[in-house]
Amino acid sequence: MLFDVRGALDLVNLSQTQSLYWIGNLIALAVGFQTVELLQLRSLWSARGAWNHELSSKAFQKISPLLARILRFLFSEKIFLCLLVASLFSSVAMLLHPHFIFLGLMLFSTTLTALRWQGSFNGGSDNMTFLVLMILLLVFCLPSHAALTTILLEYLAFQTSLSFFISGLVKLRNPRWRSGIALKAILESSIYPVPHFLRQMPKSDSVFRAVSNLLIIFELSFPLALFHPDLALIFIFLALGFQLLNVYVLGLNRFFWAWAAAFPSVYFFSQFNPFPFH
Amino acid sequence: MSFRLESLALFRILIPSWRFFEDAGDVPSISYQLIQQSQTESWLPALQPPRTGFLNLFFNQEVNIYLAVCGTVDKLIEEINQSPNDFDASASTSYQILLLFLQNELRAQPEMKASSFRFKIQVTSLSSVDQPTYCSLMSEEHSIW
Repeated sequence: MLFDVRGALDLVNLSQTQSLYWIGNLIALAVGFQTVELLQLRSLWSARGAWNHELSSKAFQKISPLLARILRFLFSEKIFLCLLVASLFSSVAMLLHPHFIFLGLMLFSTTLTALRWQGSFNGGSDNMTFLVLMILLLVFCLPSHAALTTILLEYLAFQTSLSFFISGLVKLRNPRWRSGIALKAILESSIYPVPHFLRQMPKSDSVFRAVSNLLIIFELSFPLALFHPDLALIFIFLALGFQLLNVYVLGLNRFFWAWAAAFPSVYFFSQFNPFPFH
Repeated sequence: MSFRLESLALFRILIPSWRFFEDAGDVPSISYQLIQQSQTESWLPALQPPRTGFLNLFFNQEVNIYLAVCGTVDKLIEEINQSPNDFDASASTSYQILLLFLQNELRAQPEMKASSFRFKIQVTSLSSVDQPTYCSLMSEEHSIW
C-alpha cells in the first residue's frame, strides 16, 4: 500500500471479541434508533392509524390459523407497544451489558416489525438488521468455540460483501445503469427526497454515466475488502460515505446503521481470511 | 401443507436478495381532490418529499413514513397491473391503508371544511425517454369524517 492506513488511523488488529463488541454495540444503536422512530410514529400503527392492527393482519388470511392468531395478538396496539418498549430497553441494556436475552428481544421485535410493514419501511435494511442479530444470537447461544464464532463472523462478512456485489451486478447487467439514465431518473424524477439543490444542479449525461459506472465498479469490487485489512478499511470508509449519501439523498437512514454494524465482520475476515494473499 | 407453505412465504421478507435499485422503474404520484356539496376543488399533491438534514441519520421518521406510503402506492399499482380488468382495487389492503392515511392527513388539516374527497394515482414511466404519465387509479368519493 502507498501508506499505512491502519497506522494513520491508529487501529490495531480486531480480535474476535473486539469484533463482536463493535457489532453488538452498533446493532444495538441501529435497533434503538429504529425503535424510537416507531414509537414516535405510534399514531400510524394505533387502532385508528393507517397501519392499524386490523389492516396489518389482513396479510395473514392464508397462513396457518394458529400463526395468524399469534401474529394478530402480537400486532394489537398495546402488545406491540410493549414489544417496542422492551426492544428499546434491550438496545440500551445491550450497550451496557451484552446478553443473549437482549439480543433475542431485539431480533423478535425486528422480525415482527418487518412482518407488520412487509418491506415498506426501509425494507432492505430489515434484512441486514435481522442477519446481524441472528449471527450475534447464535454466537451468544451456541457453545463457546472460537472456530465456530469465526465461521459465523465470516458468514456475516461474506453476506455483507455479497450485498454490494449483487447490487453492483444487477446494475452492470442493466444498460440503463451503465449509460447513467437510471441514476439520472432516480436523482431527478424519483419519489426519493433528493435535496432540491441536487435536483436543480446542472449535470451532463456524461457525469451521470461516469458516476454510475464508478458506483458499479465500487459495488462489484467490494469483496476485495475480504482479502487484506488495508483494503478492508478503504472499502469500509468508502461504503460508510456511500451509505451516508444515501441518508441525505434518498432518505435511507436505516441502511447506514445496519451496514455499519456488519462492517467489523468484514475487517475481521480480512485479517483471518483463508486466502493466500494476506 | 399449503397452509405451511403460505406461512413460510410470509417470512420471505427476511431473506435478503440484495438487488437494490435494479432499475429506476416507474414513479407513482398520488393526489387528492376535496369535495364540498358536490363542488370539486383542484387536485393537490398528497405527498411532498420531506427535507433531510443532519439529524435524519438518527431519527428519520418523516422520511421513513413518506417512503412507506410511496411503497404502499407501488404495491397497489403492482396489484392492479397484475390483476384482471375487473379487479376491485378498493378491496385491497394497500388501498385501504392509503385511504386511511389520507383521511387522517386531511382530518389533521386546520379548518378543513370539505366533507369528502377522492384520490388518484398517476404513474410516470422512467423506462422510456419521453417519460409518459398515465392514470393508474381514480378512487371513488370517500368521506373525510
